[in-house]
Amino acid sequence: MAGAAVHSDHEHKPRGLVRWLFSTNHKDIGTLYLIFAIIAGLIGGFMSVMMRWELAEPGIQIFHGLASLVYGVEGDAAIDAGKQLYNVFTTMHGLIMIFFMVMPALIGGFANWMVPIMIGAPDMAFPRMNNISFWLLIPAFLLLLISFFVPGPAGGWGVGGGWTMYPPFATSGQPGPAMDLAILSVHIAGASSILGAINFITTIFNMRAPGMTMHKMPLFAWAVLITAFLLLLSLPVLAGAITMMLTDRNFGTAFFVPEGGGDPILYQHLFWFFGHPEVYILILPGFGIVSHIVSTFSRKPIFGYLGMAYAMVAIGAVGFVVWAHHMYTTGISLDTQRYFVFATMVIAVPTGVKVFSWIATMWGGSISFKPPMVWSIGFIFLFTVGGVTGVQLANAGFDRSVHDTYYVVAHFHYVLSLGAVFAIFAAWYYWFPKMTGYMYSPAIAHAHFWITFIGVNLIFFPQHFLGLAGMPRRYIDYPDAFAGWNHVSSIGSYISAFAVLVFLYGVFEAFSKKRVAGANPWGEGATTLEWQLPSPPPYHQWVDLPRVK
Amino acid sequence: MTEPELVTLTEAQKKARRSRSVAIGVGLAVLVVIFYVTTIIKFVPSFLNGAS
Repeated sequence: MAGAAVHSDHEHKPRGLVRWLFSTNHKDIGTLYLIFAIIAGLIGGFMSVMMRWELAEPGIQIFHGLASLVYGVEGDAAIDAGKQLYNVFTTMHGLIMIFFMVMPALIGGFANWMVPIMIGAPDMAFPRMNNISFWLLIPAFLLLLISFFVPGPAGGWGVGGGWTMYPPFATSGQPGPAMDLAILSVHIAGASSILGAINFITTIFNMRAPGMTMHKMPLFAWAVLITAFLLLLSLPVLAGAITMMLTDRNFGTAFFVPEGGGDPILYQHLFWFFGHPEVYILILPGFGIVSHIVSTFSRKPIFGYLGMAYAMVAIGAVGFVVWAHHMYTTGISLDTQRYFVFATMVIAVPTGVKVFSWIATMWGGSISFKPPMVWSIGFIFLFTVGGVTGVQLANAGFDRSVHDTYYVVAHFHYVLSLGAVFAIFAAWYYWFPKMTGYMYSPAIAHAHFWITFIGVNLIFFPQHFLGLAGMPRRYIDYPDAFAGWNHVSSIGSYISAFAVLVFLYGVFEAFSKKRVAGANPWGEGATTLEWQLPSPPPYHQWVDLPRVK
Repeated sequence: MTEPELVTLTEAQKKARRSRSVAIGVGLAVLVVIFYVTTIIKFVPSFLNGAS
């Protein structure tokens, strides 16, 4: 154990409010991010269950009542407000899960906790900026939640135009202040992420321990480095786009207003120049995490380390030149479509390198199916399913036919809701003993996995059938012909909600039983630096830097 | 698992590391500002030309 890495005079630990409000310690800030992500995830998850409850049967089930309860409207006004509220739920669910759950969990939480330790650094390069990054998220989240209760479209409340916030619906279509609050929220969350990205890039470039060359760096650190670059290059463009939208709404400019010389399609280009790298921002840290877990529980070094690292670089780079595959139905020229079809399909190559390398790592390995490994294998399977439908959707001809249908909803939930979220839980069960010093109940963790696996597949696999049959997304109601698979999908949602309760009980059980995990509960397969520290690690680790051989 | 060999940085090395961090951080922040401003500036002329 690298006890010598800790000096007793560095063990001074602030307490109470000072520790948690003003914290500059990367582990404390990581913990704050994880708690925040759990809370945001519960809120966003609650919204998804309400949507599935609504869609369990044709007709309007609950949202008119909910609108009546929240906004105090009755009769036909309640039905109209309910339809708007349903769209507000879809919009908020997307924004919350992306900006306030997955990103804070993977980047703010696990990367903050583990990257400095894994590269042999005592902390992040800019600890105070790390604190600011976290605390910016709170007002951003509050602004988004407040937007629920203020006027949006004429006669309605909240932001209901989808997480993409396309004009003209986001400009002239929703004149109320709800959209301004949402734009401000995304601005602040973006600023938080940009500060975090600067911090991670600087930390990884400049704080690595002696001997830790880029080509010896753990794959999770590689993944976070590439993710941070994607954030740094894409978020300013989103910030520019929504600033222009803000001035269009409030200061009489017409960047996206055709009658003033603007172009609403321009917004879509700017948005997706951010939006497509964003999906890799959500999944790349998961790639890094799964690489470590597959290697640890196969008791083998990762197959093709350099190939794995540079596959992520390739995914990040190509991810910047494929954005208009989200826009095949906007009237872009055939030649432009041909380019974007080809460029998008190219991404399957480095992604395939990763999937096959994970399988090759497991091949011939001494595999133990501990909870993190089971979640990781689940990730590989589900992400691959989503990847395959992604290759289909890359084709403009097919995409035009299923654009804005549940086929697309199924696709991106397979890569994100099932992919990124499975990676989050894999990381949770992998690093929970390191972060807390306690071992959870493997039985509860396995139960959590299987209930979630069954639940989410029941939700999203039937949505492929619904999409192919032509069911459009973002509607509160549907024809009777779609009732069967919608009912199945909703049952899957209730099962997944139960799985969340199992997860929360597992956390409670681990803290109440206090089973000591030990420094390295995963054995000789776990080779990265965090396993050389006690569990939990000292408040200040690597005061003297480890020399990496 | 073998214990890692530990290296203690001198004050001068720590100061140099801090200076490098600040330089990288400022450079990245400037990059962000350039991207943000360019995104908006690029579309101002077409908007002004088309404005009635």
